[in-house]
Amino acid sequence: MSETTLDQVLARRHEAHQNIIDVDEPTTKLVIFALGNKWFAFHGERIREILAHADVFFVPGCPSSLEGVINVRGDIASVIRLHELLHLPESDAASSSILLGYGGGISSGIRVDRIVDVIDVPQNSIQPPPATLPDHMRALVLGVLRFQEQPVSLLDLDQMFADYARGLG
Amino acid sequence: MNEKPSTTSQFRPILQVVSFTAAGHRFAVEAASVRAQHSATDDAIPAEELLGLPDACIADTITRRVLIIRHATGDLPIRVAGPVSLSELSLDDLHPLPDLLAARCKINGIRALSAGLDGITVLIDFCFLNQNEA
Repeated sequence: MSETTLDQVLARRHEAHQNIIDVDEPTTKLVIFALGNKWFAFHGERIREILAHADVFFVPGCPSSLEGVINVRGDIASVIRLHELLHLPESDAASSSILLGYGGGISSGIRVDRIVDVIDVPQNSIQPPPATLPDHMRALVLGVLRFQEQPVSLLDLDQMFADYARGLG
Repeated sequence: MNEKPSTTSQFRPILQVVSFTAAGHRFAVEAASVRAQHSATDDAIPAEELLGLPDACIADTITRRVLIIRHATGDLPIRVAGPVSLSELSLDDLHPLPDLLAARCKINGIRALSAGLDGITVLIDFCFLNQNEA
């Protein structure tokens, strides 16, 4: 019978521990939402808050895609609709929410039809935008992924706000 | 008993404004920019025309007034709908335009928004409107 000392056991354990390779993949948080029957996402760090209910006050002289302003605990934020920018038909979802987003030095509320989920996904699950993407989406989509068997387009909020400020949508 | 003077300031910064209605929306101008107010006359320019807004159907019972606004080109008589009132806005309730609204709003005279309990009041400076509009 071979004798094994405690020192040997601990040494083996130490060796085995050193051989463990960290296989945790870097993840990123996404806020997934629906506009009509299409699913989109923003990076979680770009979304400050999700408002289920907020009174929107109309401001005259604005395009129809700029719904108005909301009062968020004493601060005023604009609320925009993305349908026109993304070439989607207008929808009148009864349970719509407002995402308070921040990108490119601009902050604004964004009307979405429905919040699908807020999730952490491995970064490598986000694929580059496909070549078949329509022209108007090419500059706005950072990548695509699948979630609950649905394709999700990850949108570039910086670019989106910049384009909107330039008069698109 | 001697009362000690208060060590905390009771000063509450406010802005005096004259509020009115145009195209069914509530607007306000700094009271300092209003020289006078009088009954409506035909030679006054409708506020809707200056702001580029559709002239809302206004019932005959709504009072029309004329505000004489101090303008770089001289006094500017502007016809507005009532109620016209002088009020004080707390500076805490005054907000600059959100970035996207400032970029996309077609009324370039809008300077700020006031959030009150009864909604939003749009603060206008008629001097910022295009010269050809004024």
